[in-house]
Amino acid sequence: MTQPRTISCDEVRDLAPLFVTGALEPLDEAAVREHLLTCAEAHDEVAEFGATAQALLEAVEPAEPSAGLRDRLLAAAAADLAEGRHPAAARVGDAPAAPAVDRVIPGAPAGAAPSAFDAAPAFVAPAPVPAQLPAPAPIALASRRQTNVLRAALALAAVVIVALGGVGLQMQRDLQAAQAYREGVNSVLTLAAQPGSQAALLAADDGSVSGLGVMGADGTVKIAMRGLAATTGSEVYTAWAISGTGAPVAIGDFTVGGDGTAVATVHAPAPAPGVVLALTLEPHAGASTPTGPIVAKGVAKPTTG
Amino acid sequence: MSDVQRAPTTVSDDPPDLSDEAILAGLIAGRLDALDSFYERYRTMAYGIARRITADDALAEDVVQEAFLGAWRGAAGYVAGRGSVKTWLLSIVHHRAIDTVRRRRAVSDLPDETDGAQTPEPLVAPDIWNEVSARLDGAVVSEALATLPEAQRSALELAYFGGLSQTEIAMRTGAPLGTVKSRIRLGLLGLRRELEMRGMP
Repeated sequence: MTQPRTISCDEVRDLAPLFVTGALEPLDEAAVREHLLTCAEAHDEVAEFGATAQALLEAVEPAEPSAGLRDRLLAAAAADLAEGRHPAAARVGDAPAAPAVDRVIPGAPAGAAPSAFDAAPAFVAPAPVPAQLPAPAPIALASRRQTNVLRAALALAAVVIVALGGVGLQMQRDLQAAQAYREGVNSVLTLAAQPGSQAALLAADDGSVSGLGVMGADGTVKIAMRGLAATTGSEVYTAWAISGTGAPVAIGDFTVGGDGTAVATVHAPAPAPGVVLALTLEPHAGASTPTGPIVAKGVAKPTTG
Repeated sequence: MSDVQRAPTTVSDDPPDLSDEAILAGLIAGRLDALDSFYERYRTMAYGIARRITADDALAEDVVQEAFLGAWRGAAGYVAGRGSVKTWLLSIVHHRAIDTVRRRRAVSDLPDETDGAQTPEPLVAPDIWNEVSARLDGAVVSEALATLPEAQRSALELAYFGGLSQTEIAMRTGAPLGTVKSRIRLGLLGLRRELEMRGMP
């Protein structure tokens, strides 16, 4: 990396018009930036020329982008929230912090160097998705083997989130559902990190419904689901545990609101390896045999040794 | 037996004429409806600028999306008193668009390519502007720009909308380096004077 040369205040005043219009060669531009960041003088001329240059933007004829752009933007923004890239959604995990603006350079032009006007963090190449998912604390205590299994579970969950994040997450309700689901996945993964737990990816055949179910060693089952149709009246979703060729055993009921998200805790009497977890929509709570179609299912696999 | 947590379902009751500052607060809080309002308000200006610079509809949409996402993620970095929220957003659009055309030029380094930089469209008063105040501002700037000598206006546009450096402008226009430099300085000074005469700060 070439060190920018040192220039004087007079040179900065001389170069200001070229600087604010982005017409300086890269080395000169870097030199002006460096000077402005360290100079005690205000260099108002840079801000004034900069404001005039920016007025040029007002004169550009507006144009209507395609209707799809709005959907893409809002879906990408919703995915930001679900994956912790937006500062407001980054409280749980280790997502990037809000950008820091150390010193403003009024009138700084567009260019490769960081601009005070462009305080957004880099986003052109998103980091690998699993790293974005807020990780539950117990992972730090887990064995290497546990960690590997959990990493796979995290990647799985991230895939689920990403797959859903792209599908029309446009409204405030969807945003809140995304946050609720994210928190649900977090609590499910916390259970998954404990010894003797089993995890299942629960999904509909057509992918319209998906989520995670984890059975703890004590029979506690945590489920985080998205994309479920809302329940009405006395309707409930019933969770079933199916061992081998045995009959389905009802392990709990829950309702779902208009956001299609559910975070439920139910109890399985005897958690066994290879058990199938399934969800059906039932007309009433307390069903002893499934009457509705299976809306999502998956095979539970050990998450630890 | 069941323990179900559900996301609260609140409905936005924001008035349609939300101030830019209120929208900014919404962006910082991570509200998608604020981003939607922001986009509705400035999409045509943003897209107009991006398309003017990139001369490519698809690239321009990518630029606009990146810029709004940048504003969405970086709203907390907006410094009040350093220009309006609108200026801040449009500067991000400008920055992204210039970066894009420079990268593209670096890839296909053909000085005689017929892109937007070589044949800048004239800056005309907009006729599809959907904001009255913006239309007035735009018309005033266009009018002020039209009073500049052609060489000055062209040098400004090649730099600011074409992403060309002083050296590249000199090569393209055949003018000496020092002439390009003074055209840009005189162009900005003239533009400022004309804007002030028309009551713009």
